Amino acid sequence: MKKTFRNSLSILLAACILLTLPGCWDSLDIETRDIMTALIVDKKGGECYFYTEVANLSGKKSQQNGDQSKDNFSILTSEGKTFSEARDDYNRKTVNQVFLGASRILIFTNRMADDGIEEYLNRLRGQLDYRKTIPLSTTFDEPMDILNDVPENSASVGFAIEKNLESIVKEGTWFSMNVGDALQVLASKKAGFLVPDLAVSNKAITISGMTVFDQNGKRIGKISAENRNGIVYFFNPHAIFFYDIRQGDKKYTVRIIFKKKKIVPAYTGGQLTLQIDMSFNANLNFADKLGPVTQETQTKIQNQLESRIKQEIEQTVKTSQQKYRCDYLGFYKYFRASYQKEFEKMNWQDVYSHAQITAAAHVNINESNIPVES
Amino acid sequence: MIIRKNPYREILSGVEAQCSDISKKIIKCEFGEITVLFIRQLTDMELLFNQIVKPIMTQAGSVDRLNADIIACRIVSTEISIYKMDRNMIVENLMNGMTVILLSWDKNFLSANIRSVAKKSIDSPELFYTIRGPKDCFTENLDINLSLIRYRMKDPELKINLLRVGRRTKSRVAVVYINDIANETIVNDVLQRINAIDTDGIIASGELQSFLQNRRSVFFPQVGLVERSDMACTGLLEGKIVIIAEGSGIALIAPKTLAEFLWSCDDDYDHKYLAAFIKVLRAFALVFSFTLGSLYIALTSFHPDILPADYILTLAKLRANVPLNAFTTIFLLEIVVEILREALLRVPRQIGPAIGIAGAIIIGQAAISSHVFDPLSLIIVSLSFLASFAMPDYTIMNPFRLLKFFLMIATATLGLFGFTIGFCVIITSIVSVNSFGVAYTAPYAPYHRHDALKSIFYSKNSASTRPAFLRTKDHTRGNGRK
Repeated sequence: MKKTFRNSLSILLAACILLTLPGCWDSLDIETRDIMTALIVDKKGGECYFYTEVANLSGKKSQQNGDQSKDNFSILTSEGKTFSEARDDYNRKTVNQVFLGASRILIFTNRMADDGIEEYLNRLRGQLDYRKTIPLSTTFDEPMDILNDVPENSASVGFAIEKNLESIVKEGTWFSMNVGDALQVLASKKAGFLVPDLAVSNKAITISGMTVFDQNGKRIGKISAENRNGIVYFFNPHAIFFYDIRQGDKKYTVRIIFKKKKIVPAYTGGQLTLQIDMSFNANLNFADKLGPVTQETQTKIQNQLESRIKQEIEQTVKTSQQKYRCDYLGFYKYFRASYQKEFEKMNWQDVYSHAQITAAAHVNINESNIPVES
Repeated sequence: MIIRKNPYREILSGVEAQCSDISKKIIKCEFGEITVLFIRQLTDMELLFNQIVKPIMTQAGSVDRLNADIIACRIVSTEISIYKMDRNMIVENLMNGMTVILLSWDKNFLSANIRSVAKKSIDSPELFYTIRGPKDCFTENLDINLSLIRYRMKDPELKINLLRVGRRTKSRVAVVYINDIANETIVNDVLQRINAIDTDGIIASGELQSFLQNRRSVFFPQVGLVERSDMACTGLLEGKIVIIAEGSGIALIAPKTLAEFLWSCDDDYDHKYLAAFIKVLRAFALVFSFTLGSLYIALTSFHPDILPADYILTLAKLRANVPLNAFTTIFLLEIVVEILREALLRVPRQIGPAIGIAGAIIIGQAAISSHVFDPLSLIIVSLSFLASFAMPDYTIMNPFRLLKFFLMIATATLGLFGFTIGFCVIITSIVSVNSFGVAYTAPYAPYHRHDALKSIFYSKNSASTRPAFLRTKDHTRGNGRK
């Protein structure tokens, strides 16, 4: 009897707790939050600015804009002397609690990049509701120009930029760089990193190149998109590029597919040597004139490609060593794996900028869309 | 003519007083008075007159001596038994539908079986519909049900234990098993539980089922339902025990594990890979049926960040104008669905589709367009509703219909953490159940590799042994091929 009473009491108590608590804790339905999809951080005249694109869930349409799809997102700005103040200002302007989990892109203006992005990235490190996989980028344009330049085929700037970056990474012509990657490099304190740079051109957002950041998270330069081949080979394991090779009176277009790379560091007597060995598969895609290609021509194309890619790799490394004196290509990871103690003690920046680099590229034309004459 | 005084007139008047609905036919002959007692509703009148009354009337005068033995052996051609004259025995026989013949000069009486109970013919199954399997299902008549099993099972080792249950109904219950296969302990356990039943009556197998359940863990069904005789025979060959109650078209089968509730006889008739796919699909359907709503609550109210960003936006837009929070939405919809389920089960078949249309289309469409519910929650609840019908044996879904609400409340309280706790509680309670000493989660916990594989990839030609968890006397089925 006593036991039955105790059991009934426990069940009643459990039921009461479960029935009274629903929705009391940290639950907040997704539709009652302001969902941010893009964030631009700017610093101007000692003030911090946030420019955000927020999903407009209420469905209220603006009068000016004729295109209804564009009304699905609103632009919200805030400012303050510090990031905390700017955030406080932002919170006071938003209707609901901000949801950061759906942010698609984080953009720093060139002013902010010059000042350094480390502080803001470290803020993100501590904020659990930010995804660490948000792609990073920079821009020389004004934030409002970027946010107002919604592409025709997308309702959101955030989604459009993210998808653009995603697609070119998948195509093998770019590499991914997100908040997590940047935080990892910054934590090493010895290397820099590259971030895609966006620009508004002919009313379209385009990726114009990449911004070089040093080990302190400050912008030290920009590399144009045309000179990216060598860089992409270091970061994208599925890199694919097309090369036009002139051989005789014909111009051949070759598709180069990155196969593997091997980087061997050697450190003797304070001198660092890096041996870079990259292998590629190639496909003779087409020629400007009809007709078969001979084995001899194919070998010549192969040699020409090897020398050209080798040159690109060497140039890429040389730029990082001599122009920027910053290891943004990530050689430190290979060196640290083999010489951990030495790495901790040394000034990697100095050692790297004086390192001897030997690069080799091996191209194997294993496919051909053009008939091969044996 | 010598008319002897009927020595049992007192018994007869006592019987008549006790059973008001009995009918009587008195035949007078030179030896005395022959009284034929019967209940009109339970007796085949044609047989009564052609095989009992008429032969007695015509032949009674032509024999030198007439007693119960002579009537049973020479005159009446139906199945007949002789008993010592006893009032209680007479009443019991009459209540069982027998026709009782009393001879005024004999100390014995006769009981003839010319029962005629209104019964439906062997019909197609309604609960366990099969595409390729036999469609002859049990009826409310126990003898027909036993004959259907006997027809398929020509094994002399097939044992049928007939028991009487119910103080007043005295319903017959048949415990059927194959003597040299079924585990003796389980058989004894079943017989013991049925013998221990002390109630006024058992009308159908559903009532019997409640007596066969373990008292401490009655939430999950430990006895399966069998509607078709082929299912019963398959179970018997596995080493199981089939329990058929008189007056019920659904038999019971024991022991039964959770995984077996997800199997259908059609699986044995299909290709084993297709059957495996369907079994896995049913397992997913079972989990979906009670978790989908809770997961929706967890994702919408607590952890939207684990969803891809596109889905977050879509979800938020769908729910933008809904006044109710996710928990209330799902809870109310689940209640609506349960009401619909009940309504569909109880109404006549002709009205059923109309209620389905009213429920699904009119209420659903109106609820969405008026922004009472969001479309996704309606999809989630409908999916979970449909998933619950994927089980071949619907009884397994009953506990999960209730547990679904428990899981929803736990999730609405603590988010995914609450969901995990609730899910673990359910899993723990499932694992602690046993069916007549057989672990409910066998052969996966305790794990038996061979049985676990065979439970998914089963085909008769490759299953040379019976499941080990049933602890059968004869473990081997055969070699597959001679």
